[in-house]
Amino acid sequence: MTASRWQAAWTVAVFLFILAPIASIVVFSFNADRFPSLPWGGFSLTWYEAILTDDTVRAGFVRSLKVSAIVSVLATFIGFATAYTDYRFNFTGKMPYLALAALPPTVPVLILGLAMLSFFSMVNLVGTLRAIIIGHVVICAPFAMALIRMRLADMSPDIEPAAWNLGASRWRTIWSVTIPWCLPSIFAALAITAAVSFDEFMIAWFVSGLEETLPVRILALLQGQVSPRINAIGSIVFFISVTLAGLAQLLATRRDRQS
Amino acid sequence: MTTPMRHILTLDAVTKRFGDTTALHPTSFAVEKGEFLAMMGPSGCGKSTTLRMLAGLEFPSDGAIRLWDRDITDLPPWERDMPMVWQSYALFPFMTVAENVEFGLKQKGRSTAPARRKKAAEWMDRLGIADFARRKVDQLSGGQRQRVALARALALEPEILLLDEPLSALDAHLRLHMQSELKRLHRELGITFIYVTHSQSEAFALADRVAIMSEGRVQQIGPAKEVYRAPANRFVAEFVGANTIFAGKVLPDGGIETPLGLFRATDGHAPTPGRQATFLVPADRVTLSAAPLGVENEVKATLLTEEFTGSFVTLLLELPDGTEMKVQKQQSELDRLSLDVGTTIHASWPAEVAYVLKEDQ
Repeated sequence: MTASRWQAAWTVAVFLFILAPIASIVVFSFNADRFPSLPWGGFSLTWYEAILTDDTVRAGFVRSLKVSAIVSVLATFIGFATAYTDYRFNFTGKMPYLALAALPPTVPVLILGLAMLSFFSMVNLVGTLRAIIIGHVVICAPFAMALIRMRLADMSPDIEPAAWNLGASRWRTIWSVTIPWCLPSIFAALAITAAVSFDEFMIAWFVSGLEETLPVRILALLQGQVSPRINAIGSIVFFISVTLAGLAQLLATRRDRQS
Repeated sequence: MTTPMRHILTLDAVTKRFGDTTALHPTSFAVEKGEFLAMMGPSGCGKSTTLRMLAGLEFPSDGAIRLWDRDITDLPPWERDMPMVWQSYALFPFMTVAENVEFGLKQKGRSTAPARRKKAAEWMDRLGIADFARRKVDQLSGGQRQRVALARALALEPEILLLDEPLSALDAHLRLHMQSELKRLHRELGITFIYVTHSQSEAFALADRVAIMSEGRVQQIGPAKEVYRAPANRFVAEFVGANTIFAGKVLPDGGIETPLGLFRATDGHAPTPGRQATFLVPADRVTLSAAPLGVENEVKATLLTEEFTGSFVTLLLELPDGTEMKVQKQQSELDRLSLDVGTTIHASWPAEVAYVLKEDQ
């Protein structure tokens, strides 16, 4: 075999290694048997029916969707504002400002979750959707900022001054020139922050209380019993996340040729 | 200074400092309505900074800028009616050509949507880009983009148009073509053009007046011919045209004693006996001969290179003290001299073409 064939084989092996557990979850979610073992016990949608009729799962799912929708909008807004501040202005303390803005994902989520639990309990927010939303915005905003910053770096430095020069004020320039330019990255940021929030377990587990999100609900199910229902939920969560992440990737890497 | 109302634009001791460095030393000049003024100089001379201050993209550290008699020094860029044509075009890439041209009109909010479209269509027509109206700007060539940039600025029908090296991104052929187009637009519209360039040929071909800048100062401002024939100082003499510069001590009879011999120079400023004087000899006024003519202002020289550019030939001579001298001749004049590189030749010029620079203060 040639070197490139070895490379291809290696790549396939790596992907198999990464994807095999996920694939097995998806496969066994359609298995009629109670336990995920071979031989295959026949195709069945029983487990999907079971979770769709389970009110706690459905409530968790709806809650997760709600949280991720709100979080994606807030985090993308904050991310754009931060990235734009960096692009447009020079000020003393800019380095620490940017470092601080990028910090949250580098803090272990366990510590972040604990810190938020103790903080939210002081301000009486524990167990509310708002607490989960705030927690998720904190970890999602840096992702949005990074994506939008990348796009802004590609914008010719003359574009905004050209708009001012033609009579557009700062705000109108942001609205009619900067945001349209950033639009692909804004959509990408919306998708990726929605995905991160939808998946996020640790912070939600600490601060959600009775307002369980879907990942928290899954853990509760796992602790009670090992049921193939987990496979069904896992498959749904996986496809939602992959779709959002794929969308983000597609939008972020699409490049308009610049003038 | 004449009456303040005569000038459309006045710079009054405008200064720009960035930290410790001074980009523009106190600079004052005025621009007449309808004038085509070119600011020219090497990079870092302050010409672009000056233009950006006129547009309000930078603010002077000191001094004032007046539009007619109104002080606009601190006015933000969007409140000035001085659209700019950028070297990078700075078109909005996600908009069509028509949307780009309409942009300024839309921001000013002076007209209704149909009126805007009509005006934009007129300007696109005038600049020959009407066929591309629906295209995105990234589908256009450099020359077409430059026309869009011009249409976008001119659609505002301003009193003053700012142009920042608008032709430098184009290839040579297109540049000449756009140059004549700019000249025609300026003549037809009667708008004041303020044009920044590092190209002498552009500045001289287009402008009514040229401001030669260097190291944050306007070295000379005046009609191209005047700047060319009567440079205000050594920098301008070296930067503009093809002059050879000599310096020496002035003798009591007015002759100038240089390391190359005694010369007479009667154009320009009168040399002061006993002082140093600098004079220049224009490349197109030098006579070449194989044998010495025995006239005043004659030097022996060696031919270094010969550069043929169409009907004109530029010769580079080396004088005995190592000075390089440029000479421009018609090809027909040179045929009788049979020159080769390394040939010894005699160069001379009449005293009345040797221009004496103003003494350094």
